[in-house]
Amino acid sequence: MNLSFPFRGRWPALALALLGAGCASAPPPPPPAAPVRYTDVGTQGAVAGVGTESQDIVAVTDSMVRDLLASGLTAQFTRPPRILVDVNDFSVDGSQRINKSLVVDRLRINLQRASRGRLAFVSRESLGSTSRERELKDKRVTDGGTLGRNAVAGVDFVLRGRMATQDKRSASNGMVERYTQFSFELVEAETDLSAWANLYEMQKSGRDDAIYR
Amino acid sequence: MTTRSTAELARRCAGLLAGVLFATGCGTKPPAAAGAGSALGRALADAGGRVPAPLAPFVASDRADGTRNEVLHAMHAGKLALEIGALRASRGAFDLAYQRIETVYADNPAAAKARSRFVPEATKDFKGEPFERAMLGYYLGLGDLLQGDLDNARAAFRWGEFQDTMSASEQYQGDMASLRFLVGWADHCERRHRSAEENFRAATEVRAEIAPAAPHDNVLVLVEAGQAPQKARAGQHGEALTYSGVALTTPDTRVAVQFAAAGAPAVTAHAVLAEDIHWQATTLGGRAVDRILAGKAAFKENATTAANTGAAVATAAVDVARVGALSGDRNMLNIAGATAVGGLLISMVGSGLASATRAEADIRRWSSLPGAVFLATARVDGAAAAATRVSATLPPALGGRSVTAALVPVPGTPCHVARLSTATAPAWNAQAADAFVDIAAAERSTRPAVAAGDTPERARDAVKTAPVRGSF
Repeated sequence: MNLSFPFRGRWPALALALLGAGCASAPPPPPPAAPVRYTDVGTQGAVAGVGTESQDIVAVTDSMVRDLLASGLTAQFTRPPRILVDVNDFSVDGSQRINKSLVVDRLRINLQRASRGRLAFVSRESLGSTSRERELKDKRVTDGGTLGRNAVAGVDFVLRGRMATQDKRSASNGMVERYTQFSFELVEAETDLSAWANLYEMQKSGRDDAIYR
Repeated sequence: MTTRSTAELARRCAGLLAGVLFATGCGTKPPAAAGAGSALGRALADAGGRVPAPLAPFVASDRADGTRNEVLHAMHAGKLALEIGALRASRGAFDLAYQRIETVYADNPAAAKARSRFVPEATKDFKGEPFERAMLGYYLGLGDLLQGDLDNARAAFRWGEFQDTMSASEQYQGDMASLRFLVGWADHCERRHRSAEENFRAATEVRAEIAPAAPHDNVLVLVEAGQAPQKARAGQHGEALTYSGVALTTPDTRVAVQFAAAGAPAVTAHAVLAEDIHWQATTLGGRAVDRILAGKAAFKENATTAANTGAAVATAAVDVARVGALSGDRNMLNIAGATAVGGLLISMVGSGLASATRAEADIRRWSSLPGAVFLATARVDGAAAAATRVSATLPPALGGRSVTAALVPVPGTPCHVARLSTATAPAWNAQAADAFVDIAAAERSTRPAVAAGDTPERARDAVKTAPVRGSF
């Protein structure tokens, strides 16, 4: 019997296809270990979302430092005005949790470095520890130090800040959009007059894989 | 042998052969490699690398599963940590889940793979359904509130409410009354009265039974009761996600709450139903992933049809070949034989594709969630708050249990929170000798290797800073 066989020579390909299809259903292994790499804090990292990230904190704080120093405020005073930049004066009003110290510390330190003595910075965060030291000096447990005794510095200006966000989501295509606004204001501690203000805005959008929508 | 039984035999043979091929292929696959340490372990651990002992199993599971179930393990670990009183660990776990969900999976290979016809949806990294994400916002914000971080508490509650807007069904978007109320409570504790009023009003718009906190109220009572919604598969191929179990059908939308302090008469308040989690789960509306799964199910159906057709063709061709052989018609025999082989092959391929297609919906779930949340506010004398115990007896439809809790102060504010939960948790004493498990050694052994080319100083720093995460 001479049977003509139209699939002659194609069995291996078919078998491989079936094997491949069968194995594709196996659960994937966990991702392998990834070597630690340094990445630039000013650029988007490997893990990204629509929220505030390191590059945004860098951009916001750099922008505010430049603008405040270029505003001419420092030229108005013969003695460096005292400024309070404290995490308690920075508020979050939105849907993103954030470590506020990341913003406030970078702002204060860069402002202090860039102002080169034209502004003086008061640290209220240290009030507890300085009070303890002052008490030890008062009780003569320790000597008076080398700088002599002085009153705790009063503040001329308070730098207030706020991060606010607004989220939008498209129900039809799953696109998510977050508008984030950082606003800062330098307020006179005596009069509540605003001496300087600026804001930084950004909007990010992204869409999760369809499997999550 | 009848024609029908021959067809059945051919179809079974094809399926068996295909199955053997799959089994052979899959049997040679190496076991899954261990993951790169446990991000959850690092999130739960204190500065000394110690994790509360009841949470250690989650760390082991996370290490084995990698990112696929990281959010799920973090949700379970965070909830259990809250139940046993390990607040810092709870916040760490919930924060990890939050960070993972916030990450946009635009080019994630596991997500892309889960869309394939031959891979089940459960292959993807778990991020939870909208109601699970919303409840993550609830617990995350509660943790922030109890730590006195009211800014982030508000943000977490708002984030949770935003997760609820994922519903494709416009009618039920953003209807989490409890989260709206909690934003208002955070405002209330900070004496931001105008904003608090707005948020209380927003909660009342969703659930009219909820009363705004009175100006001098300083205690928030949360009663968490019932069982989490159970996910189940429906449809011929399990491609549809549904919820089984009992929805909150009780008419008792109020729970009596007693405040008792030594030497003072007991005071009763009524907690009202603020959130029905079953309602939130079942009013989701259509999901994009449902269309993907429906496509997979249709493909599986078509492949099955092709397999059955191929088997029928092969059977008929065998009968024709038999007639050809008996009649000595060589041409008929050849054509019928080739057709039979072709039909058998189509049946094999179709059967193989059908059995390889994985249309079933992902039913992984946050099983420790409650079924409902009740809330009440009250005024308790500040001096007596530390000695005050809050208790409630739940209605029979919610288990009928009695639950008790102490008032926990919200640091930096005059407010307190009492959370009464029916969830069962092991007794845990942070001062006990076996209260913690040291995972530092395990984490050190699984930390990422240092990249080639780094200087020794940079390499040291890299290893040292590898497990660092944002803390709030």
